[in-house]
Amino acid sequence: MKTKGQLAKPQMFLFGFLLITVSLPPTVSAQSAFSFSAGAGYYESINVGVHWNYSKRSSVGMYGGTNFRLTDEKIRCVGLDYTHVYAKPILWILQPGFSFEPQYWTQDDENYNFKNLCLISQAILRCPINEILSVNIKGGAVLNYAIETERKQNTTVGYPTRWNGNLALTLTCRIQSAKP
Amino acid sequence: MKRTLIITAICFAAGCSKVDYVPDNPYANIPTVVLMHRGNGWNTEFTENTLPGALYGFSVLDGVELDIQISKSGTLWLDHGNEVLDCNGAVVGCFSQMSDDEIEVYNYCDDKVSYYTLESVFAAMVAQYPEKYISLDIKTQYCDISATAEEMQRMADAVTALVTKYSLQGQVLAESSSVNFLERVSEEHAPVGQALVVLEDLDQGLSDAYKIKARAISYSWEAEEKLTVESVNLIHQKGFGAIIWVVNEPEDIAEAWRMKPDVIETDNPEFKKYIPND
Repeated sequence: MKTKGQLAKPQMFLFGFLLITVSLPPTVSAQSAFSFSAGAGYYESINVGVHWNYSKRSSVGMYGGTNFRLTDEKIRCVGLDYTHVYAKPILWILQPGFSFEPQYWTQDDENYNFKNLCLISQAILRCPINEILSVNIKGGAVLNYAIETERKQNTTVGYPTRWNGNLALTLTCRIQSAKP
Repeated sequence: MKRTLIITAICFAAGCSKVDYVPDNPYANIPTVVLMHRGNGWNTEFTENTLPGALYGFSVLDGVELDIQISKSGTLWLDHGNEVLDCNGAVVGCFSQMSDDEIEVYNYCDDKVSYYTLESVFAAMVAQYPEKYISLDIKTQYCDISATAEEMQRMADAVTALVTKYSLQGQVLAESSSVNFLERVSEEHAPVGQALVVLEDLDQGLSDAYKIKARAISYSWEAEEKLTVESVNLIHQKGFGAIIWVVNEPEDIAEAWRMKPDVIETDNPEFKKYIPND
């Protein structure tokens, strides 16, 4: 009862690779700075990540997450992340932005073992606490493709939701300020 | 952006599941019906998807399965391919882009009819085999990709009108992979048993069938994920009929029969000879 989805692996990796590379400016090497993140999200689970801030506004990174089996399912995810946050606050000190996250996630429970690829497109509100720390609230849409489904029983039928919503909260710690 | 956040927060708070589960809706399946694939099955004395082929199929099994196209005039024709061919086998156009009159020009080769309408089969069925069944394989119209959705909805309306005209409620299935076709049939509460064609992933197929309110799953016997007694029971448990195609070999016939699907399509005119007694 194991079924592979129709999205080929080369297409998945090409998509993620293109998303990251096309966003990099030619002067990227002169402005590098790193940050770490930790947070929780509906699709990101409880996660930690590392990000390369190639400008004051933009970063690329990767993260991994798990739900630590806090529910009946075992959920794991790894994702790439492109984030762009505008400098000018829209309200108080809140800076708007957006992010794109191609993510691979798995859900294993008594009924199914799903392996999926999704693209999370989100709006961001960043709240800088100081020059190093900031809190990001993210919300948006998720487009999901099941790569492989393995049904473990013959009483329950389900399939990963194609379009869904997502909400996430992350704390970002910048370890080196980007050069202007 | 604020609106996006609010909508997302509401969705999140409402508990949008990462997995869409199909609820139980137990279905008391009917005795298995056996249909002759493309009308004539393996019998080469007849041509597939023709009226004589269909009449032969009606005479041998419980009914027939036929492939359906639609013309620019809105008439449903029998054929497997989208293209209309001349007597030399050259493509002269597409059904969906040719009127009935234009198709008729190419319809006679050596006094033999190449293309029959579905209406001619329905009329003969009502007159000669009123108790039999027919399954329509609704072919997706690819000749004008930009108009595919409209073409499939047009096909749904044409099938509904024809089934209603001949009072064939309860005797006609329509198998399709087109969401546009199936949703239209569902929305119109058409007197047709609409079945979603599932080529590989049964779980995705059941999930999709639930969303578009299909009544049955049409599943390939040759699919990578083989059907089992348990999976057919699961299909029934979720409220859908099970159609299996195409089952031809004696050992396959015995295996498929024991699964108790609702419909089996075959090319083998001796199908019933291989039905197990147990």
